[in-house]
Amino acid sequence: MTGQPILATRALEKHFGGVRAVAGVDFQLQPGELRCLIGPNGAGKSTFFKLITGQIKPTGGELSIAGHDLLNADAHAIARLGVGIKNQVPDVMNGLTVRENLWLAAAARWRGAEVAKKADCVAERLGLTAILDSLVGRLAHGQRQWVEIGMVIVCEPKIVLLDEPAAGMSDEETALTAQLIREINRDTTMIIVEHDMQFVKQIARTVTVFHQGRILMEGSFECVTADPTVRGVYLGRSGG
Amino acid sequence: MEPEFSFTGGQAPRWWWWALIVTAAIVLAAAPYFVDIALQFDLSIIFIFALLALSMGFLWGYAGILSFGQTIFFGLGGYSYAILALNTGMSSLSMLGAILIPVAVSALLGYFMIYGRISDIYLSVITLVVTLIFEKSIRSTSGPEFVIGSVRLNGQNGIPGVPSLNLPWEDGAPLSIESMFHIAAGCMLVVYVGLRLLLTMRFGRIIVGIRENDRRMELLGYDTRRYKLAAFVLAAGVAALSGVLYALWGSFVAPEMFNLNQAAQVVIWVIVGGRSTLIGPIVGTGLVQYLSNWLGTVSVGQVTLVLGAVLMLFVLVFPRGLLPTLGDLLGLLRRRLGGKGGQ
Repeated sequence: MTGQPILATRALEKHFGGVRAVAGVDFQLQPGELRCLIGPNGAGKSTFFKLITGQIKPTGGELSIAGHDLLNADAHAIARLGVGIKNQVPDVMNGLTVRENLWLAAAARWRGAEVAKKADCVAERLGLTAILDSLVGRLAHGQRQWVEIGMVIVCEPKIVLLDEPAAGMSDEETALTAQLIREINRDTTMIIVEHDMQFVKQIARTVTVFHQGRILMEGSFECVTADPTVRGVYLGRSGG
Repeated sequence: MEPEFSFTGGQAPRWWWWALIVTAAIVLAAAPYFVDIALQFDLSIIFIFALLALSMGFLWGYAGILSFGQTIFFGLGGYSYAILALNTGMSSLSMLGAILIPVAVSALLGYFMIYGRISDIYLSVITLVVTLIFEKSIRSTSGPEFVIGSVRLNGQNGIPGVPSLNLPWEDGAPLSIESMFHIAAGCMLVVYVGLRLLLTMRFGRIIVGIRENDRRMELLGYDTRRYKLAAFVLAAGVAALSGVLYALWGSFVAPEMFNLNQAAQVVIWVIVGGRSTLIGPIVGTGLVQYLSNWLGTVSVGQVTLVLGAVLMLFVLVFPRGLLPTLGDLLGLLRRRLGGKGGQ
């Protein structure tokens, strides 16, 4: 990994009162990578995602995306630079239809006839065509996750962050999600937070382990899962 | 999770909607030929108040901003017109200026509230407080020192003798009741159609998206504050137009235009009609105003008490407002008749 990283953090910190949710994270991501973040609940993975996407402001450190210093940038400015995120809990417009959700996402990036075209294209790719006119709030959890993933990828971002994309999905949906992630990764850099180790095994090349707001270890799936410290703090408990 | 709204407004209106609009325009244009003058006068004020309700319905129902202070811009519109028209004698330019002044105030107020990331509930409280500040301030201007140009503000007595709008085709004569009716009805219809079409456009669809999920829209790359401010200013412009028309209708402006009673009435009109459609606030205004007038003509004793009880009952029976509830019932009936199960 010698090239210019597409995303880099240095001593990134976030404190909530006396709690150090993210405690000095040095992280680098090369273009085209697919990185999985694992770690116990409260390890700081989701907070790290929120810092990268500008949803919360860091207490200190450095954050750069595609060479831009974005430490205190607003969420919309970071998104405009090509960072898309699917949050842990489906974060969609429940009162609008699937079509409207995808249209709004596409309209953030595209103009004119391209908007509807891109939205329809993503709906077809994710198998959402049959439910385009259904209200998102009335869909099952798994379908809402797919709608949110669709909203992220329709913008064709440079970096895609997926926070627990397989949570609440059936086995079949999980397999489809893994396949989709591999497809997206062909031309997009990705970071994925996931607890399901079987899912991580299917998709991961490099795994980063978070523990108590810090990076505990980084390496291949096999290396990480064989490490006794990682097994002690995370895998032993998760049964993975 | 059951969504609060069932109507997104994003779809382009169908042919029957346009047919209804054309029919409404023809009926309103012809109304003075078969409606007596007293009813025209009463309907004019309903249309003017409907504009004020539309401003709030649009802002609350579609942009998700509950401004209790649409009366700030309603009152400012009325007062600005009165002061400008009395000072300059140019009614048309005064009308334009009287809309621009509240729009500028709304941009300033909205900027500090929206860019200051003030939460929804505080925004409601601040707008309510600002309208009350305006009311108290205007009430305290009864002394002779409170003069703008040649116009005395007159404190709680208000400004009488507000000049009428001089229309070129009426040879400079003051507005007749028929003309006032046409202007009020025309403005209401044009604003309604304009807002409805705006909701089908990029800006309209984006503000609905922001209402639904502000954070998601930010994460998609939208600067939601800019869109919210634009919606706030647009709604202020509509409320200001309503205020100008009110001043023209009664030839009079008073601090009551800003007061709590007026501010609360706007909320009631929107709640009764339903805030998830644009026609709801218009229907709500008509119903509540008609009910108020009717209760005033029959001997029911405490009109306000009876009106309050009726409104409470109404809100309990139709919590989402009259129009959305009727829309849902019609949808249910259509599905039943079509033999389809619920979605």
